[in-house]
Amino acid sequence: MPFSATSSCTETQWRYIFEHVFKPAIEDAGLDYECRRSSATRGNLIKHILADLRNSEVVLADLTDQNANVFYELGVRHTLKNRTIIVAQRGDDISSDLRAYAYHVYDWKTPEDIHVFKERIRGLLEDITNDPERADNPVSDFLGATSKPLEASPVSAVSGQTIVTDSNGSMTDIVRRLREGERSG
Amino acid sequence: MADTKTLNEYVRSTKATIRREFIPLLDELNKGQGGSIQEDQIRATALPIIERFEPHVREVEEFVLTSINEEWGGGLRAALSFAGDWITLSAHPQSRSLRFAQGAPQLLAWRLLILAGSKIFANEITHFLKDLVHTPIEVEDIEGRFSHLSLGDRVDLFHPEAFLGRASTAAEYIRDLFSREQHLHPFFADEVEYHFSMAQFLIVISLYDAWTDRENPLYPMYSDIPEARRAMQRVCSLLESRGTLAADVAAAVGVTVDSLLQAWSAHVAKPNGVFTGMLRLSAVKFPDPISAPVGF
Repeated sequence: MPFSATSSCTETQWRYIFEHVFKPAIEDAGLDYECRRSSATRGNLIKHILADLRNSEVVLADLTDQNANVFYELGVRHTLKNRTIIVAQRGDDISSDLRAYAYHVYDWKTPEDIHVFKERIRGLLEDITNDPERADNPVSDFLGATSKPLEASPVSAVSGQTIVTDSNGSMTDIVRRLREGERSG
Repeated sequence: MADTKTLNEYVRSTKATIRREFIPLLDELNKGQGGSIQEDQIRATALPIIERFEPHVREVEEFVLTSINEEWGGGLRAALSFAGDWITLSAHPQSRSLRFAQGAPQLLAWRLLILAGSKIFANEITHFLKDLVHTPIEVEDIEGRFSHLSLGDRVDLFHPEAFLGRASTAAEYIRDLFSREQHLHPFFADEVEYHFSMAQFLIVISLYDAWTDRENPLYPMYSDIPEARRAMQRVCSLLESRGTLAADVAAAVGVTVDSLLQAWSAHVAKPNGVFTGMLRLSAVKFPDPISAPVGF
């Protein structure tokens, strides 16, 4: 992998999630994406990761357990391109700077969870395919322009751990929280 | 944003963020080249400038449309507050201003409110209509005076400066938005529903205008939206039915259903009399009497 253990998942579990959840979700979406995780070897690790972040058509970033490297890689990706899908196993793992943007909370422990996740990924990839230059992160919004790919590539890379979000779903959560806040306030 | 505890905090912080994004854009784009322009070039010239602003308001639009989906009036209050802020930005021109650029925030304010009205019809939660049309929008002009006119009374919004005041160009812009803006797709079943809902809302706006004593009638923008004929038939049928939706529509106009129906002929003559151009002879008109087939 190497997906090392984090506070909520063992290395084996991360490997399972990649092989049995993310990879099939992306490759079975019927959109001709190939899924591979960032390949890094000792000594040139960050260089390879940066190249993957630059060259990948779509990046799926999993912020579960708030791994610092994943946050760094996500920030790099945001400066390079749009087309990043953010997921986490708990909404609390999404940092406040990113909560205004699309993210998906997922589960993977049952076949039904995996099916739901696959359907979500399929929809997100369709959206990306239909509108590949839509701004989807704070950097794009700040620059006021959509990203210009440095290099076209049909490859989808998975960086670090997982991610995925449905913008409509997360906005619904926000609206409901605000409404509840208004009621209780 | 998810950390936000209250609607007010969300609105305040998001307004600040969008201002931080809009102001440098206005500075940059106001330096563009001015000069005279042919009428048929207005849209093509304005659109690339407007497109620079659009990404910054998509999240707010999603928020407002999601709120309406959830039948929560807080989103509507937020929409009116955002609209006031963006209109204010347009009302403070720089020493050098290009109308296409300076008017863009005002155009996006109008777009937000029209999208909200369209969504209200798409979801048939018409009890929100009155608030949207009647609630004062606070705007600060360049001399520091505050105005509190409602959407129904802000005729200027329907003649956006970003399109040099041309209402028909604004109608084209809002008509084509669904095909340009993917983030709107989850909120309407398809483009037909988008147009159908929008035309109904614009018909309500025209009715509101028809019941005011303004001398110059509002441009009948609904007529430029596909599905206008169906929309007109539906609104008229609703009113004739005198049901709850009819009461909501009449309240948005500012009258009761009874008084609206009684004075129908006298008032709809106003929008029906607007000359929409030699090529617009097929423009949809208000039927008179209301039970008559919708004519052109």
